[in-house]
Amino acid sequence: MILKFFDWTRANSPWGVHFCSGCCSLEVLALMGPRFDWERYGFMMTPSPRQADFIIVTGLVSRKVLPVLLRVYQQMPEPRYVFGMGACAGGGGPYWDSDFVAVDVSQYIPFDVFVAGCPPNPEATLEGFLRLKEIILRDRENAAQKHPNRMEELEY
Amino acid sequence: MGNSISLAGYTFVVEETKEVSGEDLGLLQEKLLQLNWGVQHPASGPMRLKVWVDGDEVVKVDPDIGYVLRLLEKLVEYRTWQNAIVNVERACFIDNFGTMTGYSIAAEKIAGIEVPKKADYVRTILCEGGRIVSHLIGLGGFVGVMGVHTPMQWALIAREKFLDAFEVYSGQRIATASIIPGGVRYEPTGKFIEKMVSAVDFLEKEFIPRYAEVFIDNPTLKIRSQGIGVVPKEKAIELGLAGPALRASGVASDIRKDYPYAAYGELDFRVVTKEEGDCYARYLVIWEELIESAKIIRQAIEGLPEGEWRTKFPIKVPPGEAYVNVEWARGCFGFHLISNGGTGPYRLKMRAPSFANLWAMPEMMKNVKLADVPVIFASLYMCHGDIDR
Amino acid sequence: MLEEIREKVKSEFGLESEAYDTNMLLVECKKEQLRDLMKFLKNNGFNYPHTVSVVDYTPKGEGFQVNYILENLNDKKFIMVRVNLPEDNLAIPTVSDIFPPLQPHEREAWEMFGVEFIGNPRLEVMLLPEWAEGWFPLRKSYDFKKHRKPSKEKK
Repeated sequence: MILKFFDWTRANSPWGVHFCSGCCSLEVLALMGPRFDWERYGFMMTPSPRQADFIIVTGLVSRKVLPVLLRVYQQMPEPRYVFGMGACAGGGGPYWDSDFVAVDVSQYIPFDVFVAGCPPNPEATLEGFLRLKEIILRDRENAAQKHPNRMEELEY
Repeated sequence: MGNSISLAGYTFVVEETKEVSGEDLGLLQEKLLQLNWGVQHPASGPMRLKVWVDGDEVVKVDPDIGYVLRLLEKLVEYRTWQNAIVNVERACFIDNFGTMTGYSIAAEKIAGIEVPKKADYVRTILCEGGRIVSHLIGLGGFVGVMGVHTPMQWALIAREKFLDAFEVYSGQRIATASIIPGGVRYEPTGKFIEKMVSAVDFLEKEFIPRYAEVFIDNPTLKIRSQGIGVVPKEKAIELGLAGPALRASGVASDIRKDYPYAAYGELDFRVVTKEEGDCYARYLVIWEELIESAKIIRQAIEGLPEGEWRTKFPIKVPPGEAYVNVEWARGCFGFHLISNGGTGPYRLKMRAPSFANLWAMPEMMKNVKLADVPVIFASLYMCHGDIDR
Repeated sequence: MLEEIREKVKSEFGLESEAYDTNMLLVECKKEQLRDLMKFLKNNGFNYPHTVSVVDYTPKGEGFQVNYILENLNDKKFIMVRVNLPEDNLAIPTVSDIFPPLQPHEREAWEMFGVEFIGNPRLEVMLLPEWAEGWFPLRKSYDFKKHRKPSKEKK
């Protein structure tokens, strides 16, 4: 019963880590603006991963930044959620045949929500965030507990 | 000199200071502290800056880049002439009309094709719209790095009006793929012109007066940014700076006036230069270029001719090469394009102005305080996507 | 103004030059004359360097080609200096002490193509990750399609 109360508080003010590594981060900046204001739903960005609830994988993940992303993900306390934004998080996007882009990031960390687009509209992203809120409220077993952390199997 | 200060019963002892240079720097590296202005940081973007600090003074700075590497120059060789636009426009996401224009002009030079006049004017309107949109973020980012986040929110309101106009034109807000070899892809309808005019009206009547009242002549801003990172005129050419940073040191170099392309030869505007060469001068150059761009858009909309907006571009282009320069928001972007007679480019080399500005930065950051490092970085107005193409 | 430079280059070094574009001149030279030609051009007003661009012509059998692009800011003209290198000897002297802004451009040309600039103080990987040193990805012999791993479901 008390865990349901914690879920309710966590869903109404999720905090995310500042990790803008791709082109879609401009649409996240537009979400922080006054027209598509995401703070009325409780979302906020924090610079430190130790205080965060979710991380946004904004599209492009190059192979040089992949260990940094995994280390930041490991530093987040559980329960944690991953939000994949754009066509690149889903399957490579317009750089699908480049050797220096990690095409399939969901082999390394488990994803909860995908939003399609290149870049997606802020309204579509906001719909994705509301879906994330439902996932936080709904049940305690999130995807992170289903898939083990596979960082040790990282191969170049 | 060692001295001790006593103030109301307390005693402070100040240590001796020593000048360090050259070979001594290697021995002293154990005593210096290395900080990472790192990859995961709210203000730096995907780039790492290694800063060696002695107390509060910065001794040496070394950038570490490559975190957004996609090898666009190789991906273009696997596409056709028209499809390559998808990769070329994503070199930098904040202003992507300049890159499309440069590639299209280079491809048309090799194939020997002339675009109709209406396409030239629409390209000018789109490029200036992209420049305004990018300068708004530059203004907000410079003041935001010092801790005040209000200008960024004001700039985002003005930016949304321009993005609405782009959405009416092509269906996408940011990555439109609307300038192709052979002209522009879509027809400029009356609704697009209406939205563009209302966006420029909002910029000139509401945003510019209110912003100029508070954030241009601000004493706190001036204390923090005047006299920091000074680059005199000869040193700017020697270091190889580009874009607004070069114009703020007194060098009048602007591709739109020197080698006119699109419709710039027939429009009337001035090149903005300043003399001092410090961070405040670079901020003022961006501000005044914003005001000039609004006037250019109005002139281009009035002079828009009738006719076709697109011609046919061949599937196979005869062998040849071209080097074309375009005045992008951050400087002079160069395209060296080579064709082998095939259905796609043989080699494309992009010369990015942010790359040149980045490697001039360690020279500018000698003997400054630690709190000045973000201010100089933000005033050079760099975009990480085109450093690492 | 381009005519004067053409005459001077011909009289000093004996090199022919041709017009590349309305504002641009193209000069081909050998790698032994490169440093003298660069110093001469810098003293004659071409003091703003743009970039170093390398082209790989190995499928045609013509080796590599290194292009240096310089600009004259006062008279608004460009010049391109071209050096052809054979495939088995990819060494060329550096110009980074004459034009300091070209030092990172030469570093990038080394890590992407393998052209060695003798005398450059810092030839190490910059854009590529450290484990990819020596791959030289922009050469024509490096094909993206061959390195596709077989475990991926999408082609």
